[in-house]
Amino acid sequence: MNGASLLDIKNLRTSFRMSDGVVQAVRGVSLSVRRGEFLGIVGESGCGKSVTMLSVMGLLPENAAMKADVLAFDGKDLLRASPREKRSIRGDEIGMIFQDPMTSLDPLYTIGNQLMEPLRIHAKMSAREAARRAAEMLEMVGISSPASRLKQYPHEFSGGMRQRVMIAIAMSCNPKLLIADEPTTALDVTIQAQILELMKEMKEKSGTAVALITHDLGVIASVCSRVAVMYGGLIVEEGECGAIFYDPLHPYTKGLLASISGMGDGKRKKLAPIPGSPPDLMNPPDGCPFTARCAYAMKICAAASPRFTNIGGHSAACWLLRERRAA
Amino acid sequence: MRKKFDMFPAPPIDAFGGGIPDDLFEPLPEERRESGAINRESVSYWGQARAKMVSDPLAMSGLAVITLMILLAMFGPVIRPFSYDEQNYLVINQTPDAEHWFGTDKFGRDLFVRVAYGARISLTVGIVAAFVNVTIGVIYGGISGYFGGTADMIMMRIVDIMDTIPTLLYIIIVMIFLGSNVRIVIAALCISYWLNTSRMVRAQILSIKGQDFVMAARVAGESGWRILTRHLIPNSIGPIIVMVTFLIPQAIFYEAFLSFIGIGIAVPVASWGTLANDSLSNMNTYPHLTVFPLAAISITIFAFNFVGDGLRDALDPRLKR
Amino acid sequence: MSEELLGVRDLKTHFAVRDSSPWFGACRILKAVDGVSFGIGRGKTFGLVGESGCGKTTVGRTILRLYRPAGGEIVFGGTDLAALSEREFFPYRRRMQMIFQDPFTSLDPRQTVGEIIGAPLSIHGLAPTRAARAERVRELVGMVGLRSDHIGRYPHEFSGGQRQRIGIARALASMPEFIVCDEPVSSLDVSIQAQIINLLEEFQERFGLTYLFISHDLSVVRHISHRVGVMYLGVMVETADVDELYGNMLHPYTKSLMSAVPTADPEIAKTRRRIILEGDVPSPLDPPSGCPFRTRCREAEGVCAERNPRLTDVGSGHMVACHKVELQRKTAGETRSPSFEISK
Repeated sequence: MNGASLLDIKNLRTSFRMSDGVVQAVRGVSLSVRRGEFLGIVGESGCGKSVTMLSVMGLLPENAAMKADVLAFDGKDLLRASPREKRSIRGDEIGMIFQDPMTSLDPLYTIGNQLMEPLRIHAKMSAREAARRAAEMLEMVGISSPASRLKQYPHEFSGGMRQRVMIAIAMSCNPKLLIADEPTTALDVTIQAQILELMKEMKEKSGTAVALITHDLGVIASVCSRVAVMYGGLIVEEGECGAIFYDPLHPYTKGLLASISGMGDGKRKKLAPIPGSPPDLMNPPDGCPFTARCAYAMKICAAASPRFTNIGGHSAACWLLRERRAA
Repeated sequence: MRKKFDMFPAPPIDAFGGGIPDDLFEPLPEERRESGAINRESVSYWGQARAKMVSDPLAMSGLAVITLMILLAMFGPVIRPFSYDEQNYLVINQTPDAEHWFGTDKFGRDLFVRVAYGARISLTVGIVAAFVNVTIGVIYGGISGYFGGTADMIMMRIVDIMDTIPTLLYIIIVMIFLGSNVRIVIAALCISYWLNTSRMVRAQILSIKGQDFVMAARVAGESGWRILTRHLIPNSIGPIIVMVTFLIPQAIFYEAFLSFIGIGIAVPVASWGTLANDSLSNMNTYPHLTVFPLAAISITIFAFNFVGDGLRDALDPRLKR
Repeated sequence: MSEELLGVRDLKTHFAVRDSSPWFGACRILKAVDGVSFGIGRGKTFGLVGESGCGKTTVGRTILRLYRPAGGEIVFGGTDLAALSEREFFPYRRRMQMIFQDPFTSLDPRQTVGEIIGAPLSIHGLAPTRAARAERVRELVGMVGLRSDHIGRYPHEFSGGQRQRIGIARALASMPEFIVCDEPVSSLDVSIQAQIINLLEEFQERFGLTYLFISHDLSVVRHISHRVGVMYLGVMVETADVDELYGNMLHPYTKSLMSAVPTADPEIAKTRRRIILEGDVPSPLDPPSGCPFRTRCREAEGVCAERNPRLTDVGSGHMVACHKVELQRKTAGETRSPSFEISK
């Protein structure tokens, strides 16, 4: 086990019971988040990236079931933690921000109320102390005249402002890990730029590790230091940001990069999309989930799941690499 | 009921260990690639709803009870050699036996036949009132929601004003002025019963009208009538059906209640409410006279509610996979 | 420039917004689109970009007469559509179509794929017999890359990308000349976006289609468009041919918008200078005086609050609405402001 790792996940599996079967949203994910790093988890909708982190947080809906070999946060075993311990870890040591800033704040309470609550509960501050800290936090996330803003209600804030407030709430107890689930997807690009800049700044100031879940490779490239690529409920590739973008190993990552690189360079040439659609996780394919769409697919790919091949700290699960190493 | 599923099916085992045969590294044949084919069986909305409904034991038992009640209403009075108003002073206040299945009342009338006859009245009142109300509600709410604007404003304010007087008060006023028979009970129920229906239909139409596929229909050049009949109504029919199944037991309840307090169906005609009222004076000595009509009322209302719940789940607009 | 198929002149779309109470609420006018002009050549793509609430979607819908224009002209093939009655407009419904953003709400869940794609055929009398209609539906389904055994299926059985293909087949059914593509790839996954864009480009080439491509995604717009317009708060702030606009953007809003787009290249992301705009877009119910962008513009001056800048040609069809640019041009003749590269 890596001494520097903050969150350790080994062989996590999460399934959802539906009316006509079981959706295996996460099918054996092993991942670790290191202290103070900016990890990006990238993948398309339904690849299991959000479910992975919701499983870690214990925020799964009722029809879900999860199991894992290891699920440890900062030396604490989350699999054996009592609901009470989990709650305290959730508010105090792991902060979380969600995609939709419009619904993640309670419309009935003032911004100040919602900011001060975790401070009172987890950090056990007095009302006055909490109010001071709340104002500080608002200022830190770039909201001007924080004293008067604290008395306002969420509907008086715009989308970008609310996401700032969410960040302030998540960061107020100085968490060791901040999980951000598509934090900028619902925002306009100019606002997205503000929020990304803010997250980067907050991370640098506080040393908090960030796990950023997104489908947007551009967002990953602008803030993350390490990247995990997910597909069909599995991690298919993991490595330093530069390695993923400049030397992708998995055909899915290659395809993803190829399908966007044609855009935005001003040339009207044909794009190189990945054919087909992602697999149906109610009946996941045997073997590699990408087989059906992969241009390099071999018979082995449909028969058995490839293991991870590590090439200088950069690893991918692909049968092609096994061959490459053998050769 | 929930089916049992294996939540964590075992992943395919990597059976090769070290030695993988070389021929497995040949390219995958084209036909094993993504073809866009959908392997699941195609199911329409109604097909899916039917399957869900059939798999719901409560709803199905409710449906069975309703069917039994309808059969009882149709054939109950025929299969026994008594009529509902035939008095026989030789057999008064009898407990159930082979001759009189549910016993007899204080005039020696056969209670089984009277309960079966009551089923005719209660079911007729419930079903007819529910359908008349839904028809009015759908037309009124549909027009209001579809045209919107000023028409909608005025129509909904009329509904608001009418709604300030309680339903029961309307019914009592009508019955006092027009007397009481089955038709008048139904008419009375129809006066204000549709108000909520029209509100719901309007809301339904408004929400569907705002969806992209209606805009797509306008872009395609579909006329207002076609949009209404091909898109708005088919998409709101599910919730409307659910509403009908909940309105029927309500109407049955109202009728029984009115008859019970003595302003509904008049004696000697037997509705469940009248029967219950009749039996009150002797309830301590002859409890079966109260039990059978009350059981009929509650079993029927339960059955309709179960069917309604089942339909609501089956016709849920959010199509879950 | 090729023959102009669609010309929009000073288009205005206003909505009446009622405050809370249905009885006494005051009616306010929301100027969603307030004087927008542009033209699209036959067989070309005009990209319309801007942030949410800027009015770009409203422009598209007003052109298709889903909203009534409050003013201006929509000249399509020589006829002013804005002046037509609903009945007179009907024939144009065949010639102008739309592709929607959300493939999950734009297909009627109660209809089969065949019914959805076949509807425009029967409405416009394009398939005389049932057999001809079925044949045409099969052809359309094949054209967009679906299988003919999909025809009897319902929308919920398909993935997002496949649904968008159904939407495209429906738009193509009546053989239109012009299609409004309203964010057609925004709700799709990255790997699927490219499939759909390729499909749109293929059909443009094959059938000489003209597109109005509305999107907030600047790189997609750059790829597919011949000419691009940037909207902000109901007005067009800059419009130019695609290479000119992306190579030599002049309006301060365009510059910051472009620089805010994250690039999928970590090295460039590290080194490039981003212009981070402060604050939010003002409410269109209560727009600022003068230039709508002045509340967030770093270069704003007194004149910006006083007068609305007019969209003026700065050469080779590049139009900008900015007092500063105008001023610079007046003082420095034809000198251009330094260009700003956004990607490699």
